[in-house]
Amino acid sequence: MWDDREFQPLPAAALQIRLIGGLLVVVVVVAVAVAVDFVIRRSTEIEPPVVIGVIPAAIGILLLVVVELALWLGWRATGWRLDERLFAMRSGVYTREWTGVPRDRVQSVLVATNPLQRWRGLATVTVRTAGAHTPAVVLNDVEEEAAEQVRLELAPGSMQGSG
Amino acid sequence: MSQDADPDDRTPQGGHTESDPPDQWRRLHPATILSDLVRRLPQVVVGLLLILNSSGGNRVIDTIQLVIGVVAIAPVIVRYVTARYRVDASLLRWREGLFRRHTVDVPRSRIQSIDSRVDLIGRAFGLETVVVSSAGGDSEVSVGLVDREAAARLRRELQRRGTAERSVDALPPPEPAPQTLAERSGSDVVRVVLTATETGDAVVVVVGVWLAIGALNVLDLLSGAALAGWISLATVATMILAVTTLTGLVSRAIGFRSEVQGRRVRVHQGILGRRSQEAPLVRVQAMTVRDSPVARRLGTEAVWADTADVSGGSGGERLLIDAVAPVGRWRWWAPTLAGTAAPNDAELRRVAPVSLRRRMIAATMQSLASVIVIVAAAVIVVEVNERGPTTWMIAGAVLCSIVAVRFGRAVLSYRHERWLIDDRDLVFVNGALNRTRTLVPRRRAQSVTVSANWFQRRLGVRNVHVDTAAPSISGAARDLYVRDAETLTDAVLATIDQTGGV
Repeated sequence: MWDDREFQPLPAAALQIRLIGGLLVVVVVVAVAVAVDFVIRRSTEIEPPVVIGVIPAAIGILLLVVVELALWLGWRATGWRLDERLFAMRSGVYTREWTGVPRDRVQSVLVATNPLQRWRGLATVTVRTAGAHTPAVVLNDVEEEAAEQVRLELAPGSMQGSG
Repeated sequence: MSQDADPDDRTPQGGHTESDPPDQWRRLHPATILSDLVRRLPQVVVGLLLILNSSGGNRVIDTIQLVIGVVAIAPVIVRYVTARYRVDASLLRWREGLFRRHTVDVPRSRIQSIDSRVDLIGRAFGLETVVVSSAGGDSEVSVGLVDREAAARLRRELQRRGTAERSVDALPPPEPAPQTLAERSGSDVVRVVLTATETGDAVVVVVGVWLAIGALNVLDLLSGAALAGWISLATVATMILAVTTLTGLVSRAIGFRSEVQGRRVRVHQGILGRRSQEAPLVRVQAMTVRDSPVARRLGTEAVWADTADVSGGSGGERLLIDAVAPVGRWRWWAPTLAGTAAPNDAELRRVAPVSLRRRMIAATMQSLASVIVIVAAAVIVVEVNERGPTTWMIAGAVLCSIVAVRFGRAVLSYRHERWLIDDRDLVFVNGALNRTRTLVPRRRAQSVTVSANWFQRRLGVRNVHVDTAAPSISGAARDLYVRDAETLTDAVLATIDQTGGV
């Protein structure tokens, strides 16, 4: 099901901006850790055996490896497919998911971009249904052209979507 | 929703009669003020206190108090004075507000359900509130209070799917006589309370009654200190919760009636305040049948009709058809309510046998986590209180109970879990002690999600979740073999109708 070869993978640019996003998060975490380390040293006046910043840096490197690995695995596991019958998406690393939305059940399609996505020509596609538990299938970081194609084909009442 | 001001402002008071021009703005009944006063009682009391206290001597503070007091009370009057409604050829229009005029236009063709609510004031004056819901966010209009005649006419007008071509001048055709599905009375109270399928309800009622008995015993002692110790805030809160829960359960018996009239299903319930819920049959997404161990002994089931989420995220309606229906009665109702014939139980299929292994391993892991938490808690308690043997005995008993419940639930849920797909329907049976059967017509499916964690992939099984527009149901089958999961998914996706709606 999720091993279907017809699934389109996310572009390499999607991995790029995800890795950058992960790096930014780790940098912020390390900065906070350094600040906490500094405050603790100043307030307790106990001289730890390691130089200031070494422990936060070690945590940061470990965190960076874990976060970037998770992002890479998530990117690799994500894919989408659009055929004459349905829009399908697969995702997840530990728990893998395959969600299929029949074309006739699509209520609306939303295409959105953030600055990082615009820089790399990517977009987020949200396919909404009337389902109560899965009201929307969100496909992050797909090429803008592909996003537009999905929107045109799936939007209710569109010429392409009627097939 | 739109902002506008209609020039036509002829406003007959207290609802209207059949002879009123249909496109005229209509006002609410003056008793609306009284109803709103009761509904906003805390706010009104605070406002009145502030106004009465506004002659203290300090002019600035007095003025501020007066203004706040008036602002607190004003909404009650403003709503009655400014609220208007009317039914056009294609719209139900509602407007209210003094400074910010709020106008809601609900297309009649989009109306999903029309409910009726009667509070105490309404009962005293023979009035009711008509609640009109449509698909989409923030789209519920409460027209009330209006007199019964005006409410009946409003309902009749709205029940006809309006189009621009139609005129509301013509009176709607007479409705067929209602066909009663279930009717309960005071003699069913005990059965309804005993078979309550929500475990939380039963626990709250038992604890509340126990606390009440305890409090009464203490009252007998006439000891102020003991009384203060017993009737703590938590005790009173639990007792109030128990009374509320009990009242909710009792209202499923006394005065309860469910019926089908024309193409709509309607449920009347409530003891002091009466409430009528109504939904078009075409919006019923599924049927849910639940039972508990006690219900099985008594040969009853609770039956619900699950309708689409029509109120923009506030939760779809789940219409209780009968809290103590005889076993199998839902099969009679399925063609009417869900538009489908209920499949035979013999056709239901079990989940993959490896599912038991997965559940046992999951129960083992959860039990280990419980052991770690409880042992850690016991060590801390022993350190603080130095009551070793007692603490370890309690911890051991709690641990044994948790482990027994986890493994018992794993085995029972595996034994009772079933699924079925046939030409028209999907059926899912879940639960260990309280069992839930969900009947979903295939044409109601909105999407299908197949999932499997690492362990399930190793065992070659999948979970399949079929989503519908009803938030109250979860059509899910766990641990199906890959082949079965794919068959189920393909079959559901292949037969979704071409209506595109809910």
